[in-house]
Amino acid sequence: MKKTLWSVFFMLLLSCVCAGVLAAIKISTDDLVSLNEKNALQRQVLAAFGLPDDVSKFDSQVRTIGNHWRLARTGATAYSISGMGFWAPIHAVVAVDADKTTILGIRFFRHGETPGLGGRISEPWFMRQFEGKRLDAPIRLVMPGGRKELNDVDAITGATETSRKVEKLINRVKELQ
Amino acid sequence: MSETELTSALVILFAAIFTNNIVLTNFLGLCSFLSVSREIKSSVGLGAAVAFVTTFTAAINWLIYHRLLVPLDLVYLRFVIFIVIIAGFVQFAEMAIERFAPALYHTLGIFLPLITVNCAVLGISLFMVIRDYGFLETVGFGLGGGLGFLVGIALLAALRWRIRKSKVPEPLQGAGIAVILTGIMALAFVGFSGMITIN
Amino acid sequence: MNGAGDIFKNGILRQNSVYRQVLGICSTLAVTNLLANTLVMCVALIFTVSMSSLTVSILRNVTPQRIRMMVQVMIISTYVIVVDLLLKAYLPDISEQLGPYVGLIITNCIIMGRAEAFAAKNRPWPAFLDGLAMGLGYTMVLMLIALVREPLGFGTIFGLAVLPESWTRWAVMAMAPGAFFMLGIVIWVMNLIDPPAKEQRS
Repeated sequence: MKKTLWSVFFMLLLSCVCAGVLAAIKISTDDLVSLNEKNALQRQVLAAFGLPDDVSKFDSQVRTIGNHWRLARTGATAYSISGMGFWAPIHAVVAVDADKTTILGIRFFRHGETPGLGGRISEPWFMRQFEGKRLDAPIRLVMPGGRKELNDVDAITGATETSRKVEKLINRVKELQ
Repeated sequence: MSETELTSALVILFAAIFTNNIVLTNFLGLCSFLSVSREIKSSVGLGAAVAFVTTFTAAINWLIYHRLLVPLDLVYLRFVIFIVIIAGFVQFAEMAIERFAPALYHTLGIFLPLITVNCAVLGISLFMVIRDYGFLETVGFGLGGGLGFLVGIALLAALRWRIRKSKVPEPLQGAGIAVILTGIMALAFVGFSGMITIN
Repeated sequence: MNGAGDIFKNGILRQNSVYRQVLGICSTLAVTNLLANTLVMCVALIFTVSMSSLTVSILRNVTPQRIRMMVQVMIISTYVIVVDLLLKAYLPDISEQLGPYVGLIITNCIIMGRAEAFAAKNRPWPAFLDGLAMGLGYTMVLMLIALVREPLGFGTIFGLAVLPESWTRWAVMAMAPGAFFMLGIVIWVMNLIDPPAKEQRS
């Protein structure tokens, strides 16, 4: 009986110590984490516009109108779009020029795709491909190494489904105007 | 229980067995996968036990996560809570198996409590959080994931039995050839992709 | 197994967790298609296994025998959460990319294995070194696998292009089967170079 009592007490004590350590770390990093999150979206918008990554200048350059953003200087607009990915919703910010004919930039920032495969959609090389693509023609994702037309971009090796979903998502942008 | 949620759950179930197999695509559960697959009977037994555990722990963890951790802002403790639930449930499953299938209990031996640290079990719970599945979808995912493990380990055991008389180079015997066989299986399963399109 | 040198030789070579014991590959094999992700995961693992071994060893004389495993699991999960919290705060992009695989370090068989096989029976400093050595051995092998997978599968090393555009990417290396094959090859080669002692062969 004494042994069981000691076991239970030990577990409880250990749990408290662990929980305490974790709570301490959580509290000390909490501010940093929420700041990261708030800045994250703003940074995505800045990046989509092709502006330098400086959130402190966000409000002076960008006007927030409802659920989209307008760049005061050029009249470009950025929208937040999301669609179903292979496993979970993909969230993106896409910026289009003032004429709403060309994509200025796109940032995929939240998704549940496989790391290293579908997850590569948030890598700079992939997102940079969309810059300058026109919205009046369909944008296609094609296998890397194949023949590419003007409005085509490279899909991701080994992530056919994710690429397909991204293609669907990107072609919905023109419906946003 | 809307029809679309049920359909979605079924699709996820099938996907988890074939196109997104927990072992062959997501690399989870390898340790016991490689050790137990020497024998077909214990493989099937372990696979069934794992499927049992994954289905229930996924469901229980979903409830705890969405009804307890989220409202109380204790999400960061999910790792500990999930593993404790899994440990508890495996203990319970152990007792049930010892009572109702003592032969299986003796065959599996130490591998039964080791289900607790089977990456596949914890992985399924963690994935369902990330992918934001509903309750029904989680049950489908838990069941499908476990069945995927069962299918994988049974197949590997069968393959290893088939090659038992083959001349495997000495450095590859045991774990080495098992890993290569798993790789070939994984390649075969890649052929399933595209079979299921989730909208 | 007394001197630090012995412990390191054992952890990194003789009883290497990946190609000798074939343990603990689950959680990291998935991310070996990119070197950067592999590196972060391995560093996280080294931290967790060495600190967990250290803690388990410190507590080894007061831990009640019956709940030994639960105590180990609790200690390991705590360190993993620490890693997760720190990643979220200081490396949020990588944290997002790694997703659930950081949490899966908890179930990494190496950590539990070393805690049970070594840390529970040895003094803190050797236990810490053993964890460190195991982690380093693990890192070495996985980085090697990633070093093959990333260039062949994506044409890059740490994200920098090293192969020309015209190089046909080996999709098999980018996907799951590639990791299994690479692992098999590593086991084969390492067993040729440094054959295991007779009793160790499975």
